Amino acid sequence: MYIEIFQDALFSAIAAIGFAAISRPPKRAYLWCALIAAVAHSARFVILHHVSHPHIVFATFAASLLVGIMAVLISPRTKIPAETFLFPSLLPMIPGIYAYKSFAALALCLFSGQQEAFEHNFYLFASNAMTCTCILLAMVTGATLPIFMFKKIAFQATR
Amino acid sequence: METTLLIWWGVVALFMLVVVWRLVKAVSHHAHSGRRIIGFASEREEFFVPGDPDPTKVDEYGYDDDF
Amino acid sequence: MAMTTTSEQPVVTAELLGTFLSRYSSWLLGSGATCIRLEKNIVRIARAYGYEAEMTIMPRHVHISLWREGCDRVATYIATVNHAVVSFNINTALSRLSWEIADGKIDFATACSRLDSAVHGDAQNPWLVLVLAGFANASFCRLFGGDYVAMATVLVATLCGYYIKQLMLASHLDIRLTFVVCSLLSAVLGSFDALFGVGTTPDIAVGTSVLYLVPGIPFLNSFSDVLYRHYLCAISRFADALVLTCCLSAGLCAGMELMNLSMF
Repeated sequence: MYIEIFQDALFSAIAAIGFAAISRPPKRAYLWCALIAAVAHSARFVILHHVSHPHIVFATFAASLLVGIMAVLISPRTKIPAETFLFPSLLPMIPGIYAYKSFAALALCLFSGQQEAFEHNFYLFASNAMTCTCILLAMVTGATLPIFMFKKIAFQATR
Repeated sequence: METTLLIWWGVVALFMLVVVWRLVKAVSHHAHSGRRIIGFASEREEFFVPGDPDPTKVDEYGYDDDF
Repeated sequence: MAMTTTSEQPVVTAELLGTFLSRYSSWLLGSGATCIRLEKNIVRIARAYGYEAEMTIMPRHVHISLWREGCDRVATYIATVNHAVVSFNINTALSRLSWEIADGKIDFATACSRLDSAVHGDAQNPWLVLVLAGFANASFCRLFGGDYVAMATVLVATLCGYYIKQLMLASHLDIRLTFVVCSLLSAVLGSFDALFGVGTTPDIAVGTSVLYLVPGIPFLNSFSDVLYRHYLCAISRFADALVLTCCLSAGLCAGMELMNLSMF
C-alpha cells in the first residue's frame, strides 16, 4: 500500500512539473507545484482506494481543498500569487479522459442508426460530460475556498 | 491489419520527413550565419591596414569640392 | 492596505496612467490571470496615483475608467486583450509590480520599464518544455494504470506530438488545426502497443497519449470566473477550452479509427 501511495505521489509530481512547464510558472515555483501536486494526488488516491471509496467528485474536492490550503500558506513565504501554485498543481487531476470521451460519445450518437445504440451513446456522453463538469467545479471550488477564507494572505502574497 | 500497419508507417515516415526537413533547414541556416571556413572575401578584409577608411562610411556625394 | 497618496508620488496624468493600465491589463488577462486578480491589481495601481478606477472586463477587451475623487472628469480607456500563451511568470511579475507601485517603492517611469521587461523577458527553453511535457504525460499514463511499455510509448507519442505543436504554433498556424493534427499524430503513435501486440495496457497508452493537449488552465480559469460571478468571461473561456477539447477529440477519434481501435 505504501509503495502504491509513494508511486502515485512521485508520478503526479513529475506530471505536475511537466504540465506546469507548459503554463510557464516562475522557476522557483516548480518545486512547490510538484510538492503540492504529490500530496494532493496521493491524498485523493488514498481517499478513493483505501478510506471509504466515495465518488471521484468528492475525493477530488477534498484533495483540491488540500491544494488550496497549501498554496495559500506557501504563497506569502515565496511571494508568488496563490493561483501560480494552485492551477499547475491541479493539472494532474484535470478530468481529460472524461472530457474527450464525452465528445467521442457525442460523435457516436450522431452516427448511431438504431434508437437503442443512440440511447446508449447519449448515456455515455451525458455521464462523461456531467462527471467532467462536476470534477472541474469541485476542483475549483475546493482550491478557491481557502483563498476566500484567508483573503488577506492570498491577495497580498506578492507584496 | 495490413492497411492499418501501412497507415502507421506512413504517419511515422511523414513525421520523420518533417524532422529531417527541420534539421536540414537548421544546418543550412547555421552554415550561412556563422563564420565560413572557405569563401570569397573583399580586398579590404584581406589587406586591411589600421587607418584605412571604412568603405561603409565613405560619403561619395558629400565630399568637399572647391566650387 | 497602506496606499500612498498623490502627495508622495509625483502627479501622473490620467492619459499616461490610462495607457499604462491598458497595456497592463491586456498582458495580465492574456497571460491567463483570473478576472478577480485583474480587478484587484488595477484598482490598487490606480489608487496609488490618486485615481479611482472602474472597469468592464469583456472576453476580448477591457474598459478602464479613471477619475479623481471630487472631480467630474472621467477618462475611459479600452484595451484589446493580448491573447498570448498562458504564462504564470508574467502573472506573478505583474502582480508584484502592482504592489511595488502601491507601496511607493518605484516611480512611474520605472513601473513602465518594469512592465516592458516583465512581458518581454519571459523566454523559455522550448526543448526543456518538450522533454518535461513528455515525461509528464508518461507519468500520467502510469497514474492511470499503464505499464512501463505503455509509458515509453506515451513518452514518444507526446514528444513527437508536442514537437509538431511547437512547430505549428511558431509558424502561426491556427491553434484548432494544430490540436487536430497533434492529437491525430499522438493517437496513431500511441497505438503502437495495440498494433504490435506489446505490453499489457495498450488501451491506456492510446487514451493517455493525447492528454498533454487538454486545456487545463482555461477550464480552471473559467470555473474560477464563475465563482467570482464574471459570467461572460467564464462562458467565453469555457467555450474556448471546449472548442480545443473538441478538436483534440476529433483528432483522437480519427487516429483510433485509422488504427481500427474503439474508445468504448
